[in-house]
Amino acid sequence: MLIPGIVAIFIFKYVPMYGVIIAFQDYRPIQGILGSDFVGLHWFRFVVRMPHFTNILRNTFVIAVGKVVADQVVAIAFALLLNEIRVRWYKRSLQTAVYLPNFLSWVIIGGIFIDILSTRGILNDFIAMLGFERQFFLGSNRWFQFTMIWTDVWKQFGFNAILYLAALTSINPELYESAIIDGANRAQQIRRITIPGMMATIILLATLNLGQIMEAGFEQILVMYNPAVYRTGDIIDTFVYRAGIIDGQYSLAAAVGLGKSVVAFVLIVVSYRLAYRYAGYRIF
Amino acid sequence: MARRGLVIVVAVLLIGLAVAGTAFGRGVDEEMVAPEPQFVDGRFEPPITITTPMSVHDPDNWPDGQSFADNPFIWWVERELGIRIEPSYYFPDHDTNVERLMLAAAADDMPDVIYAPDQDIARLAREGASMPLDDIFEQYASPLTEYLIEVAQESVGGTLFYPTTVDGQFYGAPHSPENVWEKNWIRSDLLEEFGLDMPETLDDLEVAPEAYHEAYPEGRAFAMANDLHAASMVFHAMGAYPEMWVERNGELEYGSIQPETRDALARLAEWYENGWIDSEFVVHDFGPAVLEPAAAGNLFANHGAWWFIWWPWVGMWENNPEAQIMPFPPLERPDGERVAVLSSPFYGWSTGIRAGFEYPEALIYLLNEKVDSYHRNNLELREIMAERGYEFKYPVTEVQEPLNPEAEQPFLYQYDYEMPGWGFFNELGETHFNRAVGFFTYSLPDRLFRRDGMFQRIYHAYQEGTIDQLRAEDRAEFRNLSDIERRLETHLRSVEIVMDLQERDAIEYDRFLGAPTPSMAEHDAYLTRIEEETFVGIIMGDRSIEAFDRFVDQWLDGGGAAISEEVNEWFIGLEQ
Repeated sequence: MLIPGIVAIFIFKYVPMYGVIIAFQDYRPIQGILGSDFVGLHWFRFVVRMPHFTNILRNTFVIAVGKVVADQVVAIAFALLLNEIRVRWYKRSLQTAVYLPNFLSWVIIGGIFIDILSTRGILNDFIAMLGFERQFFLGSNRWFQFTMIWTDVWKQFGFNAILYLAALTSINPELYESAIIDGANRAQQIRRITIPGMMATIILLATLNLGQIMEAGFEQILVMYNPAVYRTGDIIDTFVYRAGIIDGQYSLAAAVGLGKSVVAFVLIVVSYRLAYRYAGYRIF
Repeated sequence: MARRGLVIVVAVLLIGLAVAGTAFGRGVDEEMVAPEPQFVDGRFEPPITITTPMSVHDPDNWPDGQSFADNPFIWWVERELGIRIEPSYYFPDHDTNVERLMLAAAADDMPDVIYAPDQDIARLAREGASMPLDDIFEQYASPLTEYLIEVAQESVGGTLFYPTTVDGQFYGAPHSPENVWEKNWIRSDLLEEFGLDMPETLDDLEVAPEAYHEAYPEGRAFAMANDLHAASMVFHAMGAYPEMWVERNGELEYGSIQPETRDALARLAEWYENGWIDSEFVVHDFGPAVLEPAAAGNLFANHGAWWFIWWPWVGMWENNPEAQIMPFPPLERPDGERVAVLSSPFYGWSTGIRAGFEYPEALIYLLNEKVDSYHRNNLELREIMAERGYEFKYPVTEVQEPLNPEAEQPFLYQYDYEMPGWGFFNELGETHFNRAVGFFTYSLPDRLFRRDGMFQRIYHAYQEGTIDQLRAEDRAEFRNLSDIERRLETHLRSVEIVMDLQERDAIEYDRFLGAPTPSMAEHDAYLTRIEEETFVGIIMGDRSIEAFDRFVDQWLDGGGAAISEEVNEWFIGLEQ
């Protein structure tokens, strides 16, 4: 019974991988993969020697790590808080409301945020009301990475929280009953029962997210960045977009993409080992 | 059991490979059996098919039942030349077209006719995806087509094919030169209110936004998007030509790294500091930066295309009955000249042919036919060509008026399609049909040859009060222009400025008109980034003006030196 699945995966997932060859070629579409010249590691060397390579790498890393951490922390915190709410309809509607943004595309959300975050926008009106100075969130290198991380959290945390809420429902209610009998208060219940009960899910998601460490969010940044914040906002993917699609350097783009995949693969393997060793948890 | 499992897996892999294998090779050609098409007596027999991208600007503007793929032009081409025209894909705007074309190129599935910006045509040429046209034109162009190219070459100093020339052969024929008109725009009603004249120098101009900013602190004194395009008004007035190549001591140098650009950036930084440029211009592209304030009547000065009269100025005229925006000629440069410097004498787009297309000559036959039909009423040209032994295929015919001259748009005109040739269109410039396929008739030699486009005809007729003697298409254009009185006034001034520049021979071009060099593609992503971030940073005051000097060094080290070398090689090649 497995055979059709294996065939499908082979054809659609493995066969197309021969395309990575173009990362080692001076690829010209018209000559095709079989006809283009091999140039070995030329493009990898080209990328590493690019003067702004470390800058792009750092931006990618900072934004991606910031998102992974902030997304998870906020989602966990929100799930814990929501779990304490006893009014069912309130809990449900809140949950639905916060995960709706997940279904909107960045093109839409980006447009909205450009208005909200404008120096004349409502957020800055609020900041000014509190007596602070207005900040140009999308045009200042001081704020841009911060803004990318927190707008991403705004969009994603509701959805991530659902996974944690699901984990919470699997905790045996008897544990809470006996804890109450033993005199544990709410905070102690959370610390001793709820969080350990969620641990497996947290480790699972953390591990899966490690594979995303090179993904700083192409769409979001393409929609929201501008020349003033290239220094902090230009990431690997936006560079690949400009060099690969706009300038037609397919081999260069493929080399960068392959490099990213290799790093992500290594990270996933490492984190999987770590999760197994320290948490005794096996995902696969 | 384990072994059996292994056998199954191996079998699956083999099947997979076999399936994938067929994807590498092309299937057997089914047309092998059909007879080879021949071009006999001016016609392909059996008919051939040409695929081409088609533009869908105004999808509703077709007379009943017709469409891009099905209209009198398409019928005529098939009937007359045995060429079937089929759309390969439709595109709503130029950017989408380029994106589709590049993906099609990457998938090796290109349309037969390529329609793209010059630099993309050149790139495709380097990749071997498009076809050199020298031999094809030489072999198949009619004497008339050849003559018109000659005339066109003369009028642009022999540069006609430079933008798409790669390794000595050209890969694309350029489009109309008329679209490049760019204007400095300013609110003339407010100038009057402030008691100021039309500015002639940058110093004159600076008085105006100051007055405006004082009176309307919320308005956009100088509307500029984050591409800095509008800043050309200031750059050019200071003799700075960023993103173009200038000649210095017999060599070409990149305009963005010249000291004039440094000075102009410092000046723009002052404007920004003064609040004349929107503090958030950097997050805004053309829409929010120019269109929105313009439509709201909240904009004072700008630099942009002549066609702004169709939009966004219409919004301003509709919303504010007092507002009037007028073009003004280029400001006086430090050397005392008032010249327009354009990035190219052409529109920047060319038509080429896919490499490996079996019947490239068909497109030249089509062009021959189009120019013959189109110029048939040009008696002067008929005479010139008679001396050269060329006989027109189509006779002189009466100027055709549309059957329904009351139609709202020229696209909706109906003609007597039984006319010979495609003489049923008097003017091919502005119909859907001319966008349909192949080399643009007017792109090549026509507009350049006649040098008196529709707008000039309208201008003169208006001055002489003879609008009613114009042809239907021109009258329709006049009607469209004058349905807002202020638009007519603005546009006539626009035409006047261009005619004056032409008369004074005061139009200059980017000194590098060649196809992008190999180093340009390689380093563009990085060099563009440092240029944009430095310029924007200086204007916004995030970086000091010294950042410009660092940028110059970075630019030269990061590939700019190699680019300069290649550009100068091209330049030396020109002189030889």
